[in-house]
Amino acid sequence: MSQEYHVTSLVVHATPKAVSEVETKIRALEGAEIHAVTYEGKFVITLEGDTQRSILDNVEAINALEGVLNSSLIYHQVEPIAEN
Amino acid sequence: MSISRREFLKANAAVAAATAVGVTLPVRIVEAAEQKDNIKWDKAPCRFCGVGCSVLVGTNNGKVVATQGDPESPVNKGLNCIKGYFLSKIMYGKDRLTTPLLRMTDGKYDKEGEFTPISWDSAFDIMAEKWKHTLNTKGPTAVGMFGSGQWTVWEGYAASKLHKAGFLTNNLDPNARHCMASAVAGFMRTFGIDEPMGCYDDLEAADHFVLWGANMAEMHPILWARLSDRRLSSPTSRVHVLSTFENRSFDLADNPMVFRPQSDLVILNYIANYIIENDAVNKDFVNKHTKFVLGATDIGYGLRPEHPLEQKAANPGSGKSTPISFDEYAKFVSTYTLEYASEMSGVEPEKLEIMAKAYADPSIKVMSLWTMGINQHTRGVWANNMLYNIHLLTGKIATPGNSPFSLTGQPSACGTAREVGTFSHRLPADMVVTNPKHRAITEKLWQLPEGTIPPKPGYHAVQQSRMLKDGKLNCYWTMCTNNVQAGPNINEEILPGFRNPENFIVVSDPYPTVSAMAADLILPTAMWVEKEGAYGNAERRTHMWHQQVKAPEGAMSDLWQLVEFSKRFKVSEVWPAELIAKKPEYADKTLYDVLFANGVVDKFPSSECKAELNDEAEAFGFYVQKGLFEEYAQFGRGHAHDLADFDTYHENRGARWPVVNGKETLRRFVEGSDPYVKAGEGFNFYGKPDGKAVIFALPYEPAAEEPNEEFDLWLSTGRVLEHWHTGSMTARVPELYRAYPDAQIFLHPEDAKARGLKRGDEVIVASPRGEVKTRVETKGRNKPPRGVAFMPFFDARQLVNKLLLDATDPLSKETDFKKCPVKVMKV
Repeated sequence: MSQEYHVTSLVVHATPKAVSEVETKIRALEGAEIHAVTYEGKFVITLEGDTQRSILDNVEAINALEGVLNSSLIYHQVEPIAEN
Repeated sequence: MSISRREFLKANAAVAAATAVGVTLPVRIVEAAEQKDNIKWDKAPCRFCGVGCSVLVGTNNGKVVATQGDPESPVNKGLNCIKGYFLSKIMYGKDRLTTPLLRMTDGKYDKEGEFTPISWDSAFDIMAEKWKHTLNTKGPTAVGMFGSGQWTVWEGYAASKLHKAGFLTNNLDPNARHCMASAVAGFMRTFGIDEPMGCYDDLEAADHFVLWGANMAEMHPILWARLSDRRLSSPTSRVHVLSTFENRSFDLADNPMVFRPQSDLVILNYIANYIIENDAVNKDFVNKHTKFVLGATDIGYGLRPEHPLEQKAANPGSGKSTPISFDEYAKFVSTYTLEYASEMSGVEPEKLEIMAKAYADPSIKVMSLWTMGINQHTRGVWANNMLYNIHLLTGKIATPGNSPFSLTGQPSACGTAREVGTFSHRLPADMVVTNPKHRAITEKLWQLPEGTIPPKPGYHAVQQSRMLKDGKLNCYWTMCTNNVQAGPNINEEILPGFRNPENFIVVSDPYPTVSAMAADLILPTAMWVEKEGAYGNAERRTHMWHQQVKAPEGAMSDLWQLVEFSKRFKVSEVWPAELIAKKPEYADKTLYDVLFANGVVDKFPSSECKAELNDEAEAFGFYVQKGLFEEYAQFGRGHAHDLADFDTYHENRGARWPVVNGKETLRRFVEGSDPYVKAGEGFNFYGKPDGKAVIFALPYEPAAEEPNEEFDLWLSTGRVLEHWHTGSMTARVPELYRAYPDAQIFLHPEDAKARGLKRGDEVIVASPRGEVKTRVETKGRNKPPRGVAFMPFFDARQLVNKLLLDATDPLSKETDFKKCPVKVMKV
């Protein structure tokens, strides 16, 4: 099976009280990167992975975090990893 | 793949997300994202719900390779929900249909035969033969079509012309009958004109939000994101959530209320009573801009006339009303006290009062939001009227943040089903077939002889099923919908009609849905960005897209199917002699010539289309989408339904009608915003001849059925975030399927325990009309109270809607999908 690179970005909105805890837990997820956190508790996150599945597992993990109100997927791109 | 390539792709993704929330990222990321790539981006509205988000679709070599929330869209501002995010995959299910399939035995059509591939030509041959035979032997009332709030504007318009003007039948109804009909009738009764006066901008302007049964967190996630923003950024903002079970929207609720099914009617009248008793009526507004009426009661349940509940009703189907005074209205609602409302609903009195106070307090701007809980209700029209009562009594309407807002289910329930008028009683721009003036206007614009459009409303959705079963409707074409899974009372009222030997059933769909498999002929359909389209969303926003990829070879759009089929009929074959006598030059023409190549629809050359692809323009030799749109737009321009020029919509992210002098309208009926309200009027509810909105005195009446000793639970069916309706598209996206593969029944843990059940157990859910096998969920996202159960209907292997009675609101003919008594038994 050909190897792929998947990248997704999402905006996650957390209750202000939970921001720091949500931040710590997202940082712990493999392939997740936080690019910005706004004062109202919105995170700009990218998720990278080899499969759509690995990315969605992370999306689900984020949705299940206590204090997360809403997550919106923004962008998705997939490319074959061709070494040449 | 190089590191820099990865960094580039990641930067692209990050910048898109940052744009959506308005944050600036470090320069190195932005610079990385600014490199060139070979993707061609174009906009399209999302294929799914009525919110109407815009998505950027990235294609490369004829394939969709990336999607992105459209940052320029005022609706979603760059955001996507999970369904929108996976849009690019809905067209690529493995079982996509690419050839017409006819039930055949030994090379001939046979209703009991096997599906056999045939050509489009042969498919239209057999259809035309069946249609002509039925029209000649039984007349126009024996043919009909079931359409969709997911049709593009021109598909709905072409279907309407083909049926009402071509086949001379009003037996055309959309699946929007099952979702928005009560909202429409509510608007027409209170305001005399359809669709919300406010818009999504009210989400940022309101102080308090009241959700009447709507679970926006799952069903309208992008609007929920906007509402959450407002709640969290404004210290005085509050969210009241009413539902018959706890759902995801309760996470944000300041005032969560779980009420007994059907008691919403009591709560609504209690609020009106509270407003009056606490002297919170906006007297100036009420005196100038409203009037009061008493509505007919005991109106039945829209069942077959011989049903005992119809026999028992005093005024079955009556929408009559008589004028009353404010004092009489006040007296009418005075029995709806806090104690009574609390007793009937089971909601703590303090919570009801907090909500009533918010409505009554003139300093609090309130936005009410509702969808299927209110519309799919045997008193859904009343409930819509009663919601407007509250906003009218306080004058909290049509101004920023004061907004009774009817959310929409489907992407073009407004734009196509309602505005084009594909209902069995409607014509474009809120006109109706029963009004001779409206028929005359339509016949003139369509260049038809007087008397073409039949004056009697056709069969509505539920009636179509009944008439198919009874053998009175014999040629039936359904498009862009899946009623054998979505409709009510499937085993008793829908399937028998599909399989009735007297009937010929055609289903157009991209995929082999449950309905398609029950049909006699299946037509493979092009979908979404495989064709040019226009949708109209819940805030009156008309928006368009270009064709961006080719459909699989063999699949054709609904528009092509409708227009091409019209070539098979000569006017003399389908019109009576006395009608042809009024326009003898039409006799030898085809319906295609009369309806589509009529000098108006074929006015614009294909070269005017700015897209690289337009398969329909290529097929017919003119810009058919533009021609249909411009002919249709004549109905509304100058009549408070003004649409902009066709080309404008390909440039912008949509515009909210009425669009007058190039300017969209945010809020209707109010001076300064609505061009149809004159200076000095303040407000003008011009849908009514006297400019006054109607406040209805209407009582609580019980549901058609209530739980009893045997069927001891209320069952509500509905959607989940991951799936769109019957899952015909979303269940074919592997990620969405895996995210929510199987339907379950949500039960209270104590209800499960009392039946010897635990989470995950296999159970039979039964009503007097059938049973389904499913599994128990007691800890999921929905938490029903004792006595209530919820089950989604997306799962084609668990046709839960067969349990439902086809009881409808007698005025809107919309089915109640939310109150079916069932029993749950261990397998």
